[in-house]
Amino acid sequence: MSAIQILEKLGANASFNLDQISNEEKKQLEIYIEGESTFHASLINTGPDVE
Amino acid sequence: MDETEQAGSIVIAGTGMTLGAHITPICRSHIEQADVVFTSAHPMIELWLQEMNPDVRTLQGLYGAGKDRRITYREMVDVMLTEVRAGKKVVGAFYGHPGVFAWSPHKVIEEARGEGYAAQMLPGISAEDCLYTHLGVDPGKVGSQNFEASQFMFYQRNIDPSAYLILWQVAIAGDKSIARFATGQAYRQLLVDVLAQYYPLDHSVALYECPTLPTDEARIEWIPLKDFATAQISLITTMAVPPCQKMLKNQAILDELAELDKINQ
Repeated sequence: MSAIQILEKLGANASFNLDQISNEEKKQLEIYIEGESTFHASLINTGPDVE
Repeated sequence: MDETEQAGSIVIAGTGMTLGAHITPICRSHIEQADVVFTSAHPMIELWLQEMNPDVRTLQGLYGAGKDRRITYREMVDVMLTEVRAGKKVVGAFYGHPGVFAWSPHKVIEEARGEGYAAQMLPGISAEDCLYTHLGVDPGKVGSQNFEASQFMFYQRNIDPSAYLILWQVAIAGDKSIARFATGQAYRQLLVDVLAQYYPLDHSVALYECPTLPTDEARIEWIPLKDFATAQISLITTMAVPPCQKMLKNQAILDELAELDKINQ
């Protein structure tokens, strides 16, 4: 399984957990997650001049 | 021309907050079946969406340091509409609920419909939903008020300190330029000063961040209100302020209701 597939399964499957993946997959996941983690989250702003 | 006959359409879908866990079946189905998917979400969510559709295009590149975000939001609409006008089945996939604290999703639907294209929004699990879950709050118990932090500072709002108060985007509190990614301590202190009109400075408030990855935990950090200006926060931090007083009965209305009950027995 790819890292993203592991994450998806962890999120969606109540009976799936990190104990069920190999050490190699865990390492792969750690490296994957360590990458870029920030994003521009703001999708709305109201300036003081808006009526 | 009948709106539904026009080639080209847009569906705004929510991915939910946590990868894998929150996406609804119908949102996923639209994403999978789209000709093109535009997205603005955490990079991991965007990578996940790439597993669902071969043409996923990020809108994150439209943000820029010092760039007025109102221009960014407008560009998001234009980029999506261009593909709709080209006759494509477009999906705009936004994190959380796509229509909560989000300008572009609503605007693109309004404009697409105005041009005769089919356009709809589908709900998603929002950050607010997750906040209630992780903090164990039922908004129905005493009520809940939600404001964007800067708007809360710019305008005089009447708030009820016997209900929950949730302030969003506190990291950019007070940003009149709509171009900053953080406003800093002095601006946050001003927000504390506004809140101090209603709450004691030692009132406990929660700094909350919803996890994007299923391997992460929610951040729930309780601090006294007076410490907010120096607290560690990010663009995804939300401030949840519990009530500081009990609800006051409206005795005049209660008495009128009692009279109505007598008549309607």
